[in-house]
Amino acid sequence: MEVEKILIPSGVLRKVFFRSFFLQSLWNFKGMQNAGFLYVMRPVLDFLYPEAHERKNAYLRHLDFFNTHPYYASYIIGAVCAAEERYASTDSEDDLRRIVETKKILGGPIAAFGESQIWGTLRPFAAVIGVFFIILFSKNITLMWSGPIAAFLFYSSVHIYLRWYGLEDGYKLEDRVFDGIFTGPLRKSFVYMRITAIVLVVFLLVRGFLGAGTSVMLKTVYPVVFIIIALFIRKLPATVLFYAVLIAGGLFARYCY
Amino acid sequence: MTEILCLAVIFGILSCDTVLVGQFMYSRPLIAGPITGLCLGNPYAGFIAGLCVELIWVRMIPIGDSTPPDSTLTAVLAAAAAATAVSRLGIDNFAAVIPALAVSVPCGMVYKLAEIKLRATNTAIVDSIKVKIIRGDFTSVDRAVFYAIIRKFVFGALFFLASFMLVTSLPEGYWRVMDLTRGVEVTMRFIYILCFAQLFEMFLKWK
Repeated sequence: MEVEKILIPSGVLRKVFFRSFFLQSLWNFKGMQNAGFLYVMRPVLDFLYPEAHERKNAYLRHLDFFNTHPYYASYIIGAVCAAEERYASTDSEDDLRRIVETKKILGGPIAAFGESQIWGTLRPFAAVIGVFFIILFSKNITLMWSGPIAAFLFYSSVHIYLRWYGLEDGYKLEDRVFDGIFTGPLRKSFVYMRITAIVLVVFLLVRGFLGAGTSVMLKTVYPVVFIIIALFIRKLPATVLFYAVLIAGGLFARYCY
Repeated sequence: MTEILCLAVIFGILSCDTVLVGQFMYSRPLIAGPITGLCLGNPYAGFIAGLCVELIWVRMIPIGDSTPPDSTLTAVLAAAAAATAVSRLGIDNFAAVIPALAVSVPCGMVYKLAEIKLRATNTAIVDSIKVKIIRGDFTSVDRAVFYAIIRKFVFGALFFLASFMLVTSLPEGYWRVMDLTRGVEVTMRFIYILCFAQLFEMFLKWK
């Protein structure tokens, strides 16, 4: 007997996309993003399971533990939408298992990848772009706004791209979507971002050194302070370093400068 | 007073962006700092405070409960306190931002700890959602999300108001502490070096 395939309409997927921005609204220490995931999946589950009993089971299975990177989660959400669609058509045990496995197996690796690429590269890179423009236009307060605006636009364009195309690709390709993530062009672009960021940071540091007044004392202290901070940067938390630098700077200015 | 109430509302919105809604990152200090400064008529103080907080804590990543001090509160509070000190006491922007940062960091840490406590209550909310779904109430998760956002907004706004009043009630002598060192520029330059050392570490460490 041929099974009639139920297809999720694009309007429902659009609702899922908008709801994906609320994935972490109910983040908790027990199930982490579980309730957020259910919130995101609600339009799909309501469409696929009109019967109260089936809907209840679908809701409850998405309240199991789930945690991953919030932007890359869209790939998993898309793949789970496709898996739910298939299960609603076939009612097969294998398809049901696939839904649970997609979330369980992929959550961890995607989280680690996202942390490295987004929190570790994209976010600081956007900050470097912003800082670059702020320092470049530091004499003109109006032009300084180009820094935060550029940082926000750059970051948001990548963020929204990942959310939307992640959902679309995940839905179309299901678990095959992850083949390209770890090795594809997206990964390369993050490597280029890191290289560009290092170049910009070096430029800003040198510019700061050249702008350190005409005082020989200050010009000598500049690299010495950098080396001392570099020695302690991995050993001390940022907050401790901040207060140490503040006190050292104050004392140096008071007694040596 | 109206400006401060507006700022509390703005901070409430910004605080939701950090984890709860969207994570568009307009809550990043680099953006939140200048916005705060602009609200108080001194965007320059906001730029300095935002830039320092953004870069000094750039290696902090928002995973679970691992992010004290809260960089958004630290930047917004430092920018607001510095702008207020500049307009009230007529001191230099840099001289106002340094003590403002020094006092905002502990507030950011307390806010982060309080926020983690608040987040811990979500477990009970999620458990109640489960019970409601079993009873057939399928909209309970939507209501819970709405409640969580409103709660975070109100909590953020009130915390900002309380910490702002605390910080601005500090005696004038505190805000003039940089006069004692006679070297605002040097201290700021030290902080500048720390900022870029953190950035270097960030890009060299992450693979």
